[in-house]
Amino acid sequence: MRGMGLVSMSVNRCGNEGNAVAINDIGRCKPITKKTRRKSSPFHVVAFFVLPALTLYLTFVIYPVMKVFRLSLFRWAGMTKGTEVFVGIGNYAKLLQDEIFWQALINNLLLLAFVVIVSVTLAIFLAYHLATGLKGSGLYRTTWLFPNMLGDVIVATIWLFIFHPTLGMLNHFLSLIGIEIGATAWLGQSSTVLLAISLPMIWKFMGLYIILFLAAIQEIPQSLLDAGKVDGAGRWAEFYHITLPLIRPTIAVAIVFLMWNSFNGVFTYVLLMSKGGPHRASEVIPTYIYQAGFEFHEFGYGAAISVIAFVAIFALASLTVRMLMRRLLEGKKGF
Amino acid sequence: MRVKRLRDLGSSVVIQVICVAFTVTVLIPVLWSFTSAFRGSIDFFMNPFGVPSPWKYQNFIYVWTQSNVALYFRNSVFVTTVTVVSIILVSAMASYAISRLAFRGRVGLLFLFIGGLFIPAALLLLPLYLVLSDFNLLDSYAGLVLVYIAYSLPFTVFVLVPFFNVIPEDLEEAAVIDGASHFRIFWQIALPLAKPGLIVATILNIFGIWNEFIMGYLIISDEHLKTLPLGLADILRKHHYTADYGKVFATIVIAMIPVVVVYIVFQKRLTSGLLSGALKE
Repeated sequence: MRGMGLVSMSVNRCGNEGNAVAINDIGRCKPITKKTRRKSSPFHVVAFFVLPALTLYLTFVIYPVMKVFRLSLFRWAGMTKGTEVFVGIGNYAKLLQDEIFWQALINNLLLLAFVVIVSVTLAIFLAYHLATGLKGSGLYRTTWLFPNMLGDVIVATIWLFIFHPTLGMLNHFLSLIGIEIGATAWLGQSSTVLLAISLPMIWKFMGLYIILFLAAIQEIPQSLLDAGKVDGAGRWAEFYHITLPLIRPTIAVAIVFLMWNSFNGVFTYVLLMSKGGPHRASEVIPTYIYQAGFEFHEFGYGAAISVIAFVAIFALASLTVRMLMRRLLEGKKGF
Repeated sequence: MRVKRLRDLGSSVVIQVICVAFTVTVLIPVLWSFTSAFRGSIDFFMNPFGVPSPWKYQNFIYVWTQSNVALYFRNSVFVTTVTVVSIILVSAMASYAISRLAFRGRVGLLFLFIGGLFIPAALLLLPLYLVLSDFNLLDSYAGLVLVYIAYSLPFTVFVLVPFFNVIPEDLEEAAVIDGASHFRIFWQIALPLAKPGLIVATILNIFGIWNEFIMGYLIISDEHLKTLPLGLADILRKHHYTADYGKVFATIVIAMIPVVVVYIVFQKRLTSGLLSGALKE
């Protein structure tokens, strides 16, 4: 739900040596002293602190997750209780033959791949140059991060008008630089609609990743870069052989978070900018789930689509979860 | 040597040009929205890119008084305030427990929350709708706020845990020796020390909730309960037919103003927090 999907992505350069070292609060490596186990806290204390969060989380996040799996095995209009019909894997079998589902899946993957590849590449490029102490880098940082604070609805609306065939800024700009394509309806033709939807997402998300890559690059010890210079590394060699390998963990986390971000956000962009059209050319998984449930009244079928998407996302995310867990636990003291 | 310096100068000019170009790309849509908010429909069609003539500030008066934008705005302020205060309190308690208390299942609990970072809300629309319907929470702020808290937990816990992690243990031990309870340690020692983290988490949650659309779209249908993003989506749908786009942009600007203000006030804290520590170890 977070519009931002902010992530912590510092490079754990100490992690190679297993548990012997951790990163302390100022990011330097320090040895963990022998772990001392504290006495368990009283139950009522733990319950007091944990239960409010846990109850809400279990009720509104975990329970629906479990429910969606169960739901996917039934045929149900979602309205009256007791009218569910158990169909086993029927919904999944139906999915395989549903052309709209495959279309939505492919659209979704294309959109995700494009957003992720463009944002990450550009963000690394800009962050790398910003880190060299470019004049005005503080101003750039502030400006570039700003779109990230805007809501998806606002961003989608603004870009809807940028793509407006006759009043939009894009066609106007193109004719200014001599590209006469007339009143092109970017959102109205199937060849351009996905591209048109991806641009506002890239525009919004990128700034955050520039900042996070910048943070990772700035953590690279100057001595390493100096050593590279002594060895006669040019800027490109330095980037390719020193910077890039050192920020690789950050890149991995960034890709996963960005995918999650785009997957969540795409619902709003498609709903407001193209409604999945023309002819399903911009239908994506979340909009199709919504439609299956609330327009076709096939809750079970919609749930089956959710499950498929879930499995895919979790497979991708599992690696990152492990990494994040390790970092959060390592920073601990006293346990 | 001179050739090399010239080449360096050349490449740094190119980089500056790229950075300026990117900055313009970021800014122009925002500036364009601001000027568009001051256009009448004729101006919008005749002159969509120049300085508005005349500056039709009446758009703002119109949307504020003649449509429900003022109501949406108040609703958004209310929902955001209640939600963010609750999120921070509930998450800080859970993060404190995960970080400072010793109990079985502590790591499992952290795993549960961190895993939630990767659950896209967009996949849970149908079952969540059913759960809310079972609890009779559809179309109510209670439902909206509880769902907002639940879905903000993973992220907020993720931000806060490292801050509780680095509180020196000596302080805690001293407090225990003085006979302070865990509740007092949490309230009087841990919370103040975790303040930088609480601030970053608060800012990010303010943006997140103020802008939230999907859950609102699912839960709220009563016109009187709609928040700004929901209202804006409605207005967009309506004015697409009347083609009075100046009013759409006036609404956008009204929704953007609090974001701009909070961002300007806190941007130093936010960027430096993101750059050095707040979201890292």
